Amino acid sequence: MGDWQMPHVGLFWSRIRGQYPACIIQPPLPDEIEMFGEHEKRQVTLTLGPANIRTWFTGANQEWLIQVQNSRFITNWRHQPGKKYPNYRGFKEKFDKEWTRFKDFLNNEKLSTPELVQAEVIYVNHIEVEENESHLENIFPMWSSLQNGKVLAEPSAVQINAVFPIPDERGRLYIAVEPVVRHSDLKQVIQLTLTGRVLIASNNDRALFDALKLAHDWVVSGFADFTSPKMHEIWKRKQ
Amino acid sequence: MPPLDYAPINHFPRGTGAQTVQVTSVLEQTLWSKSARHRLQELSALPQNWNGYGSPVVNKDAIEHSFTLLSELGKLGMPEPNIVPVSGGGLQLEWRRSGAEIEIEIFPDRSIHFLVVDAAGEMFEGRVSNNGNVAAFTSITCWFLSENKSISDLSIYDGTY
Repeated sequence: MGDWQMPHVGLFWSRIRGQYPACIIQPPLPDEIEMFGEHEKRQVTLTLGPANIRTWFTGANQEWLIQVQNSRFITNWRHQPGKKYPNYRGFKEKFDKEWTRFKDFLNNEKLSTPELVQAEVIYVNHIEVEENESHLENIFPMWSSLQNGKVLAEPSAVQINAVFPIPDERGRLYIAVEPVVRHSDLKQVIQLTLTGRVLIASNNDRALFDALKLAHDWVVSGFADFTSPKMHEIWKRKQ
Repeated sequence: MPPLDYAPINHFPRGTGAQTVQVTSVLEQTLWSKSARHRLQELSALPQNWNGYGSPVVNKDAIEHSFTLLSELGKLGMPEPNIVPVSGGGLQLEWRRSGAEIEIEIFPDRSIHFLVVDAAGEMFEGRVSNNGNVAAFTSITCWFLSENKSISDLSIYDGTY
């Protein structure tokens, strides 16, 4: 959306302010488009003209968040006390509704229609474990803890970054495991982040939702494969 | 083993920046981060009227905001502060070095008041609003970590962030 400028942020907000009473300017997110073959080895980005603008539009109860940037349209669900996690169907409906409203706005304002390039689904989970106890091999079967090293015992902290290609060069699934301290309760937890990115085959909504579904399927299946059945039981996850 | 994909590891996604749950990576923590965290946990367990003058318990938001601030200041190279409770539900972070002092008070509404004193006793104070960015403390940190500190070397425009 090359012609998306700050005045449009205000105009768009005026249409959705009833549902999204807060508007916050944020630093832009980098454009990260999946590339394959020769293209991926040479990627230089030159930005000319005004810098990207990213804006948060937050709902009254903070549960839903819309983010708009020149190169991104994002719908986020954020856990709030007492609120149930919406399933993918509910999430898709919400995204569809907001995406349609946004496109209608662009159309009414005679702004250019976004070119659809990539769909992304991100799932962030905090796994609570006892501090000073390494349970990684119990949670992530791919991780095999060092048992009989000459000098190395259990590491005090482990970070895992794994990348899985989605067949036919459709995209990639990224899995990140990182020990973090959560500021709200000062607890040390394991943050598991799954990011599914799928290239959109053609510039229409059907291809967009196909790509979203594929990204979501990989996140769900990737989560199931990457974590242990024992943990699934603990999380009461349906298999 | 399959051939390595030329996946852009350097561009490994770090979320969409939507997380309201703030976290700090354990791998990026300072050496003193753990003891500061334990100190904050201790202070969060203080009972009502901990000072004998009717002070409320240390506020949860003040604890969270203090840890966020400490995480940022730690990355900038600040040493471990003395952390004390303040009547009214807030917290104070204190540093002393070569005669210079910094006191940062975090209030329950997440606003911050700071006081900087140099070795000659010259003082400077200011406020950071509850929407303020903790990056406001970058210049104070650089000043504190430098040699031959004098308030006149502290490049803060007017104390309002």
